[in-house]
Amino acid sequence: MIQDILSAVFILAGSIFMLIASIGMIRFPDFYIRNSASTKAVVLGVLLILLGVGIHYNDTIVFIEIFAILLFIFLIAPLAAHIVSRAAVITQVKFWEKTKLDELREYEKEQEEEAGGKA
Amino acid sequence: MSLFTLAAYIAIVLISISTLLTLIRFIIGPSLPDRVISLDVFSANLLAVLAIYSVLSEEKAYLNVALIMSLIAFVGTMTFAYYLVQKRHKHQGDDSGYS
Repeated sequence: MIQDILSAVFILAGSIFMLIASIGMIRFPDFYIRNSASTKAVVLGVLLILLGVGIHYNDTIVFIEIFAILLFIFLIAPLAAHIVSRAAVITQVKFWEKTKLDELREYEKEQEEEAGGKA
Repeated sequence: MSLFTLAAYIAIVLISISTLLTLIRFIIGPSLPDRVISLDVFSANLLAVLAIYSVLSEEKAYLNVALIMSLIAFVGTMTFAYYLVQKRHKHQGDDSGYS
């Protein structure tokens, strides 16, 4: 009984986090903000849902499988977000006008100076 | 219908709504990275639906499918990111960008 209630609460909380993530995907103004929001909320949502599934089965093999899935997702999500954001900066996807870009501009200036020194 | 089954069905409905919203972002997304990210969220939603469906049908084999699907989503996202960077290097010099 307690196992069922706990599992249902975890699964519902996880699906609500997934819903929040996709509302963020729709509402946020800029690619970079959308990327940050969706990555974090989706990882938390999948974590909660898989924990709920594991509590429902209450089996060692299932917990090992869930651990493997979570390991992949926790390795993958930050890596994918970083690489796609980097590709977006390189291909000059537009920023939101309120984003403060001073550090990025300084970095770009340094890169240009280094390239000029080498040439 | 037990309380747990009802909760699982409600969770599937919520995730379906979020899949629809992600699909809207995939269609209107102004740039290519937007579409890549929404595809990533889409596959995560699919993974969550698979996990909940495995609970509903008492079939543990669906969890293996979820494991493989997380790997495939990772490879897809990486491939798209490298494709974007390579395309930029090929067209270096024109600052028009693309969407």
